[in-house]
Amino acid sequence: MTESQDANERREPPQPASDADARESPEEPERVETVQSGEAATPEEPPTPRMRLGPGVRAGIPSLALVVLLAIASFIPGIDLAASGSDVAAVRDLEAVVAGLPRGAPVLVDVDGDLGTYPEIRYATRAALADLMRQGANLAIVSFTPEGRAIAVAEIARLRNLGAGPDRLVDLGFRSGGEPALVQLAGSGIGPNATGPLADTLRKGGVGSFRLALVIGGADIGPRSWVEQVQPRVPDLPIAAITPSLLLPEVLPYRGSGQLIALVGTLPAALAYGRQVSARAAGFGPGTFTDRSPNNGAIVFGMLVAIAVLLASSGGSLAGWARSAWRRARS
Amino acid sequence: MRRSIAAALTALAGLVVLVDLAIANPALGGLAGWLNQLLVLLAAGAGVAGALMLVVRHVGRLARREDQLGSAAVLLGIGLVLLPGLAPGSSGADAPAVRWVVAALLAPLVAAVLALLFPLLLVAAARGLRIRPRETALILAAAAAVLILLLPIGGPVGSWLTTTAAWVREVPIAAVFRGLLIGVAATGALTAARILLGSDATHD
Repeated sequence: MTESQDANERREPPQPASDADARESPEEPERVETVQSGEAATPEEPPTPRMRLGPGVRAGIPSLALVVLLAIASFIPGIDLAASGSDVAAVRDLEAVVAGLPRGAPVLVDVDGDLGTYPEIRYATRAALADLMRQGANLAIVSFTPEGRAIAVAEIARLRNLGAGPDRLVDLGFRSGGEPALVQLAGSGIGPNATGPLADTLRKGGVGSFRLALVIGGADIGPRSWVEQVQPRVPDLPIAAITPSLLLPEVLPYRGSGQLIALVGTLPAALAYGRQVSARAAGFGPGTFTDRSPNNGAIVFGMLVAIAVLLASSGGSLAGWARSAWRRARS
Repeated sequence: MRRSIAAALTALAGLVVLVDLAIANPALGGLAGWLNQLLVLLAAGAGVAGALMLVVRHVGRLARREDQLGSAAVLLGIGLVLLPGLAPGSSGADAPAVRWVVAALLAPLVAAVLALLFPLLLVAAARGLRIRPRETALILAAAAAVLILLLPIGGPVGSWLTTTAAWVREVPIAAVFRGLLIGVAATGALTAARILLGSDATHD
């Protein structure tokens, strides 16, 4: 890698290239390849030029083909992501938590998803917000990360458009500082900035007056931060969470220990939960849930492509390694 | 001397916050709250300083005519988010223009960057296969196996795949991840103890 081309050329005299080498040589003219056989081309039959695509175009063809095939796959009906037993249990937990809330119960919703992974949990998040609204809960939405705030602003605007007024929904805004800001919220309450009848009620009651904290988690602030920072300070506040599957290994132990009372973290669980909410959603108002679920056909096709690429790239090496190990063992 | 004062202050602040969690005392709670507030202000200040440094750095690069396209893109992005939010009469992050920038530009761009993860991993895998073929092939095969387990196939095979996928996620992967977390936590505690005890050579 560190040797120059000149050094290689000085060490080894140039060899006559074989036909195959000649075809693959990068120094070969790429634009136009004329037919070069032993016989000279006659003037009546001019050599047919063959256009060769540039490297950028050639690299773009597989991506374009993948996009086209994904688009086609998205029209294939009848593909469903099967929910495992743990997914079904996770859905049941979250449904039970929401169903157990009395009418008018204040719920603190922390929206701190990442813009990159939020598409995976958007369907479940909107389903949960709709379910909480249908149940009659009052929501206070807060964010501790800039990306989470961007998502929260969009979701608040959506709920307001659906008819959630200041008596049902209060925006606690963005609180800078990450986990220290979380500690501040747990210790000092919602603060003086939020306005409206619901905000006044929550200000009097403090964080302890919330009946549930629903954490829409991301990489920076998620269920782990809430369990570590809020639960020791407000032990009576139950915490439920919706996270991308990327965070599952980190937060599953908290669900196992009961520190999280519900956790939806896989796409099949999110789809199953969304279907359940959709079946009982309100006809109008903020409790409606009409979101389209993620396209299973495109997801499955993408998975198949990924499996094929991974196996094609690793299969040869693994087979060669196994063959040589087998030969060594025999000898 | 300077090092001792910094270490003592750090140790004191850490102890106050720690003891406040264990003992319910209003005075101690107030002090811990004040320290926490200071931390929030420090974080906000660091954010503002970081943004300013970014602007200064890229304006400087533009002035020196180094990577003009990249610097212009960074400054344009900062301006697109900041100007509508800081404009007179704007409601900040809730302003429609900021919401449009986030929904129409920022979110798709970040999602696209995340979507590039797979091709980038493939490029890294191709390099890994050249340098350490066996280990890289094993990692890729394991990734393919996990994807196969997640395939939505119906019938008893699909049911077995789904159950196995859940077991793989909840037992081996979770165990490895917990091991990593414990390792990170132990290293963090060790580093913190070294700083608190003033035995960290780099803490000056």
